[in-house]
Amino acid sequence: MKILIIEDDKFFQNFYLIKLQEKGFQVDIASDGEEGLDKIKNNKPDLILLDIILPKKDGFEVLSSIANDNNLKNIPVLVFSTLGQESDIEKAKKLGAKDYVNKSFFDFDILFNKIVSNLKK
Amino acid sequence: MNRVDLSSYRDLYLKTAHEYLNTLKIKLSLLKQFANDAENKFEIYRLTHSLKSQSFFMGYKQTGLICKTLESVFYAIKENKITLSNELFDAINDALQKITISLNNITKNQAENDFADDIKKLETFLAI
Repeated sequence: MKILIIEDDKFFQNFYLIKLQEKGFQVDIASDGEEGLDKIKNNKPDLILLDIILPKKDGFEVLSSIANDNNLKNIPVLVFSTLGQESDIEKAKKLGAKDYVNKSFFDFDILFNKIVSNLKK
Repeated sequence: MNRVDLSSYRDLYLKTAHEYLNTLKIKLSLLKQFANDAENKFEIYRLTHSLKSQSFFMGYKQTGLICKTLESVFYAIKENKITLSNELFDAINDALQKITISLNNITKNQAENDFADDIKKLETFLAI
């Protein structure tokens, strides 16, 4: 199963890459929204982990692009949120995000369960 | 996942946090010179947001809280709701310097700094 992580922060890129590969996923990383959309269109991941605050195109723009593309709109997207950005979750869900992961109080088991649950649908 | 499990990521956190702080200091000085640079304002906001996220993630709550306040300040600057006055510039620089010292404390297995006073000071600029 291929997971694309769209995340600009090097710390989180490293962390998620290691932890998800340990669980047996193929993981690709994009560092900004534009690169993320290119990789989504070219590589069609099975699931996307998406940060909101990104260079070039933000997470909301990425979600809108996915929702407006019939070839992409069924790919499940989980968004990252942090303390102080709770309102972003509702906006992201309205744009098609399936669920969210809170980076401020992180539990990898919760992330893993959400990934598995959304891959099964 | 508890702090013990995250200890192996501490060096990665400290490395990236120091990088972001150094970049922030440079970009802040540029913002003082070029107050209308929208791209620079966004970058400063984004870096502070990342520093906040990393710090909370690793369990460094005090560092996360000062970064959250700085993020709010930089968001307000980005949205042109407040300007970077000399007083605000000094307050931000003081906070960034204290965060650097705090990270050095963490490196030496000491506690992170308390930033309550810095948070109060920065919040006065947001109250305008």
